[in-house]
Amino acid sequence: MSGFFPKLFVILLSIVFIGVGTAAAHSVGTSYVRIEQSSDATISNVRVDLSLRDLAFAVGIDANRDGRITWGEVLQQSPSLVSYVTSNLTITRGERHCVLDAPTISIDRHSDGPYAVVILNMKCPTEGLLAVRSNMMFDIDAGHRSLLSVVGPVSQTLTVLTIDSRIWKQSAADSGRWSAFLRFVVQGVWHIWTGFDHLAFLLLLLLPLARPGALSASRSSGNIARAVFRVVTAFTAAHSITLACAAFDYIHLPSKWVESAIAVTIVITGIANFYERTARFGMAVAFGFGLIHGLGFASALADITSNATHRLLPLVGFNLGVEIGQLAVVAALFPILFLNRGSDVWRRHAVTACSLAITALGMAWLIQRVAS
Amino acid sequence: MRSSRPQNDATRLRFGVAVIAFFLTAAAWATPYRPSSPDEVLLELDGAAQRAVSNSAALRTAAASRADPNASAIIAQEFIDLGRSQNDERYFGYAAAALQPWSARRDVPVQLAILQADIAQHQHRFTEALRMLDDVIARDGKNARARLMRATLQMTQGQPQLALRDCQRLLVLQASFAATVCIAQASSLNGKLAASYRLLSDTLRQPVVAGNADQYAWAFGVAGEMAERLGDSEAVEIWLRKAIELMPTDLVSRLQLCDVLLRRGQAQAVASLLEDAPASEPVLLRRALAEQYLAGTKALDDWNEAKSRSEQLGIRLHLRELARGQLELLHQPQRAFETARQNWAVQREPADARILALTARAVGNRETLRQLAQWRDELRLEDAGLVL
Repeated sequence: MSGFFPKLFVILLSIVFIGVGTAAAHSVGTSYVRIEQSSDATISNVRVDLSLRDLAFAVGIDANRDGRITWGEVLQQSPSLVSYVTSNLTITRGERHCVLDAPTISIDRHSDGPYAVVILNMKCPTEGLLAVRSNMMFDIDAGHRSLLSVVGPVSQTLTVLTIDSRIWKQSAADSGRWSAFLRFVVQGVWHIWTGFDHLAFLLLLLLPLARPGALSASRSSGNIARAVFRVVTAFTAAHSITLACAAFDYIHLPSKWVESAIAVTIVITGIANFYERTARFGMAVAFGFGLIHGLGFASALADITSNATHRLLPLVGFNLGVEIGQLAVVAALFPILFLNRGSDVWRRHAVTACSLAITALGMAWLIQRVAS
Repeated sequence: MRSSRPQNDATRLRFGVAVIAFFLTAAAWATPYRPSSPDEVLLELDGAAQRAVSNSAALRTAAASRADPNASAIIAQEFIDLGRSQNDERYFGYAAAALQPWSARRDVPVQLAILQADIAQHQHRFTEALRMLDDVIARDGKNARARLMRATLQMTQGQPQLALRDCQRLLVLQASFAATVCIAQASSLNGKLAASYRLLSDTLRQPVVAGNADQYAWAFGVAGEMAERLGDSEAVEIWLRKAIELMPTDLVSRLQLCDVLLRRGQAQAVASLLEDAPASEPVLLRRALAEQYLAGTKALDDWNEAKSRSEQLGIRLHLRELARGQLELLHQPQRAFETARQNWAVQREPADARILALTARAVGNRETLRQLAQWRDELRLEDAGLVL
């Protein structure tokens, strides 16, 4: 493990340098189309990147024909640029057209030079499969490749459109309920594993359970298992309640305060861990603070399901994912707790050291979240 | 300890490449920006590109209606020339688009069909290019350009006997210089290397005819390739330097010379030879190979990036080059062998045989080596560089 991170660091550094010094590649003409959709795809946006070299030819963007394309010329030609995009890019849902409007123009650099970036709002019908057809650049460049990526709330597809295959159609399997459900489950697992704050809180709850004081007379594995089970169940019940309430709009709190409150729960629980007796109240803490964490899950869920028509399916899937992710962490931690049951070193040092570290982290989160 | 090193390197490299590829894909969607001043110059088109673009804009309307095949021919030719001189694939796509209204039509005029074949050949669609040229020659047997193109293609596919016939027809068609080079090249691949080399050297002793620079550059390149098969690396360098002097934008000779220099370990010379060369995959490959002698990883990263970009776009143009990169840069002999085999299915020049032999030896595939030896003997191909 120790060798991995330095290596990763070197690689990350080298990426930074590659990004700076990339040579202009001489490859075929390329454009990029990225569609970002919400779970029901009613409101989304489309980003189209077109090479200025191609645009000089296709739209005549070098208005004064001096061979130098300036930002002013791009702005001046933006109406024709936008109409070139909207007339050559057709997006449909359920065989009915999506409306593209509210364009903004900017510039980006890809490996083969500068590109004009057109970002449009996209409004689509609510039902059916998505389809994209692009005629962009194929009239002037028969070898042109258009790299299409369609980014859904929990999935991404990447396709290359060419002059001979200009159409991409969403497959029915992609949009089916079952696969949508699975994607929400994955998203839930992902959220608990990458949202370190929930993981940190869970650790704070579980670590002291192997302390002698936390357990009744015997130190059997059954006792530890029971203690873990109680705490995890309390946490799960609590966050499920608030997650459901928030998902159905019964509770609505600004996410800044929710996020800050989550940091507070970590700090408090961390400090409480310095006192051995507090482990007796593990279940109550898990439940009480679990209510707050549920609101945090809700805002993560809301991010990936904005404007969704169905709420139950994402909610159940996401929550199931959260539980699976949480159980995996518990399963990984349990043997450690079991082996250290009642150990003095564990009681005096390990729990305190871990709690101290996590509390510090919680403090940092708190400051960051309140200040932002 | 020593023996485990290459494998470690390869693993680390593979991991690095995977991570880099991931980040590059992500970086393709970097945050766009709005320049602060309208006067900020975002792109400068060079003169030739600018002329081609503005000329074609006027001609395109006429061409699209198929009313004026000449208009289409002028645009397409201009873009093909631009693509060749700048080694930019994009312009071949532009040329093809100018001919698009005529694609898959039986009444396509001969001049346009030749241009279509030229583009197809450049894009390594050899079978298609051959079919188009067969069609052109069936309609116009006296078309010298079509004959020469077909001969070159047949040589590319390892059929010098067929090529020789077209070369000989060129003699009748008053294209004596091209015919001589063509005949010498085809015979050299078919058991008469030494005699052909003498013939070509004698022909090239005459001073270069003005206005024929591109033909002479081509001939010098052919002579260089023969000298290479004869194992005379000094002569190769002399021929190739002559070709480069005549046509400084001709990348093929430059790349060939790089390979000679690389074999001698003259990495610094390679770097300076490619200094202002366009960043195409073959150029990046040689820069990376040169870099193995010097210290550094920048060129390797560039080549890797270009390679993953092509993979992402589904472009498989330079299979021979790819096989070489996989063998010599990535140290993946098995993969290199597979690529060289795929390349061999479409292209059979001596250089293609060499990379196939090299990779087959690296993976210990005796059957392939035996088949190659048989192919070489049947063709009576002489090539000092083909070690079987």
